[in-house]
Amino acid sequence: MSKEQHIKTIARRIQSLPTLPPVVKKLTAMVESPEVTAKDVGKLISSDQVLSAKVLKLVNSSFYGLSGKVSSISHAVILLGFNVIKGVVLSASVFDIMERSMVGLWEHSLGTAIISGTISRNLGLSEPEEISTAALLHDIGKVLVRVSLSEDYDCIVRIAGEQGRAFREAELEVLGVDHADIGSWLSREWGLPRQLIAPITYHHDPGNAPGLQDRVAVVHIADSLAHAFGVGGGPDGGVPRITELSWNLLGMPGLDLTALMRKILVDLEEVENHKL
Amino acid sequence: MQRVPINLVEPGMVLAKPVVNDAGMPLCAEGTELTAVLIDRLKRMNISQLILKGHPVEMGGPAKSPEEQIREMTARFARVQGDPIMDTIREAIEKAILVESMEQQDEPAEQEGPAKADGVQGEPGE
Repeated sequence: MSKEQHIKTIARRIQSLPTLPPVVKKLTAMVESPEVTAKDVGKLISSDQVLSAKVLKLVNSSFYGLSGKVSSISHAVILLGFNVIKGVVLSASVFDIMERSMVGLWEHSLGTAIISGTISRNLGLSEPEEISTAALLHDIGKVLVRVSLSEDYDCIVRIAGEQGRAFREAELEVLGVDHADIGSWLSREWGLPRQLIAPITYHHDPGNAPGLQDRVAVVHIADSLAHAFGVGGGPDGGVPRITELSWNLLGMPGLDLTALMRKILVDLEEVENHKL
Repeated sequence: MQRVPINLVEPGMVLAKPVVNDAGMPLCAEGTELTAVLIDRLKRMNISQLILKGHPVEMGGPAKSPEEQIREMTARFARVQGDPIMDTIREAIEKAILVESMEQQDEPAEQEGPAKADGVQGEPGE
């Protein structure tokens, strides 16, 4: 079976996508309209108090470089743009669905977002906020497997644990695809912009990304570094290998790595602030 | 940088990270020097802990020693050992942990600036 066929089978098995708050659907429709204003979007998100609190907390975190300066949602929309807000609202909602047992994944996602922000800013890449948002969502496929295909998830965890194999290998064995493939499908279903879809799809396989390679490379590297720093290691705590291609593409060999790692070490303190 | 329960915070200590309440609303900017009035106000707003610059409070708790942190970190790299890029990263993180812990001991309220790792050599156990 090809990857596409596997995904189709999985899509059929998933009765319904994890239910997202109605706000997310409205938001998706809204940001596609050319006449929408930041105020409209702000109003919509603010109508859900729990959600808007989470969004504000996230946009005030250091990976958006605005720590502690944003006091309203419409302000956040103006500063960060629709793509980022959509991603933040999605991650705030999706991780809410997540059960306590996945707390490690939430921390890992936050850690990867923080590290992506630090690396993007260090390299002077454009739109570090979007890169961080993509990083926040990079393992979204794992959430779907856990929530909607829980028997398969248990099986994957067992295989990875008993045989000491990488989580991703176990996924391929059980599902025929990995969480990146599933996350990719899910993010297309949700109508995310390609700037977010690409890093979600290719974070394990940056060499195959058809474009946006620098963003994909940042998330690929940040994912590995989050494991290296021990932020939210799941059932498979090992550090994934970084491809030479991504490492060189971003010019990492030319950086003062010790200084970068120190910055990351300090920035990661913030994960604590967002624990579920 | 140190995370400190608010009842151990004293005037004069400096915030390393902004204080944000449960509703996500920023209350105090990073770099703010805390006063008795401010600490009291934060307590009344149910803020339970603050992230402070330096390492102003000796808590003796479960804080891991840099050697311990490095040992755990190295273990996580077991599967990729020998890969030149991954080895470089591991060494850089090891240095970062050492520099960071030394700085916390020597200069408690030092500003976080770019790292100067040049002077750091000879990690323990080498």
